[in-house]
Amino acid sequence: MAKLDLIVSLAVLITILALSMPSSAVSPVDKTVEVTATIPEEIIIDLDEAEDGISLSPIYPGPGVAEGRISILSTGPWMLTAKDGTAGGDGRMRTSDGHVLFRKHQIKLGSGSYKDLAGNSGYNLMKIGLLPGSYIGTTYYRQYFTVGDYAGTDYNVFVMWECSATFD
Amino acid sequence: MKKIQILMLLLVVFISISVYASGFKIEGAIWKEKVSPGGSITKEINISIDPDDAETEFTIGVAGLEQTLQGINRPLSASNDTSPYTALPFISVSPVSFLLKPGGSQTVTAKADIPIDVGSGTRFAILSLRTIKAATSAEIDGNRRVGVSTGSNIPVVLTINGSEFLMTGEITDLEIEDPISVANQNVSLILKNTGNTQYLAKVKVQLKDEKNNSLVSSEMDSGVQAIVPPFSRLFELSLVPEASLEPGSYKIIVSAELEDGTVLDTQEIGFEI
Repeated sequence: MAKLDLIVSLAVLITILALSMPSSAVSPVDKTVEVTATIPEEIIIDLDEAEDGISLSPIYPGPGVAEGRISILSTGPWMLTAKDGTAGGDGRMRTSDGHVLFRKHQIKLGSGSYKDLAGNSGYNLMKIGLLPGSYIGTTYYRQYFTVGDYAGTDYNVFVMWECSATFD
Repeated sequence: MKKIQILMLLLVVFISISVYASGFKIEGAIWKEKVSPGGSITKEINISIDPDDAETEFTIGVAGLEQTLQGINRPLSASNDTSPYTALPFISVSPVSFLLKPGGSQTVTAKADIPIDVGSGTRFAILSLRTIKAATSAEIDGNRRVGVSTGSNIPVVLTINGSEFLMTGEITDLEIEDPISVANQNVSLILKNTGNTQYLAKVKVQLKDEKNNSLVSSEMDSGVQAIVPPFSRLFELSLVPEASLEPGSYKIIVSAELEDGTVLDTQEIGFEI
């Protein structure tokens, strides 16, 4: 009986650990589950990237890459978009003293393909949720270094993910 | 055995606490309501974060609604908002910024004072909700950082009671991709909403030979997001005939329709092989 208790406890622990872990590097998470709406007009969006942003692996010689995870729960149809969240930003990583990388920063979601990050006034359409439900996806960030780019400093970019309700 | 179970429970609690998540919950993610000229209505929107989220600062503002050719609703500043169907001038929101502690929530009240001479149809706006903490962190930290943040464009859709609703549309920019192939024809067109309210639409495309025989057809709908006036939607379709086209004259007939089959506009374009 004691052994059985231990096995059950371990099974519960492993299940919770699996659910808690960030996405795997080898298998992109891209799952949608339909649910019945209980609270009208509700959207929950969560990003598991660290509070202070995420670090790319070295940009030089590159590409610098990183990944995280996003989860969305919506009781109606929704749309997920992304863009450069810096006012006037053009989708490129830059430093505070004026150095800008030639190639735009790139993002992708789940098993999709990489897209150049849209500037602050544009939009990358990343996902459409046709029905109420929950979605979990891996977020990917990539930066290429181009000959001629200045390598002696650190670069930043600010990606804003927006999840919004749609209407008919 | 009880001790082992308690230890495991504590471990699970610790793991749950240590997994960081940045985000928020909105209750009231869309404001869609019928209104009367001269009337006043309010909408409560509740924004909250989880106990394991970091302290987060939010801003929320009223903006015009602009729709891209792909059907994305985006906020437009008052100076750039020229839509005759904007609700921006008669909407206010309070508070416009607030700080949420972990586990905290804030109710935001939006108010619309409908002018007596508001006119007919539907009026649109966006309540633009943004978190601003992550941007600051990324800028300060440096080190090849990708700062991430979340936001939401809360659509405002106010339908005016007693209105005459016009659902009209016009096809523009009908084109066949060059060079024209004998195996498949890629067609693109733009459908402009010339009415005074939003609608879902579909586009039907048909390929006919010079004897008016239908060779192949295709259709595409506007998806989950309605087309908002006075904006337009891009449709791209591919026609693949069963057999390669022989030399001759052909035409592509395009029809834009509402969901119930009401035809909004038709056009045709010819080509030679």
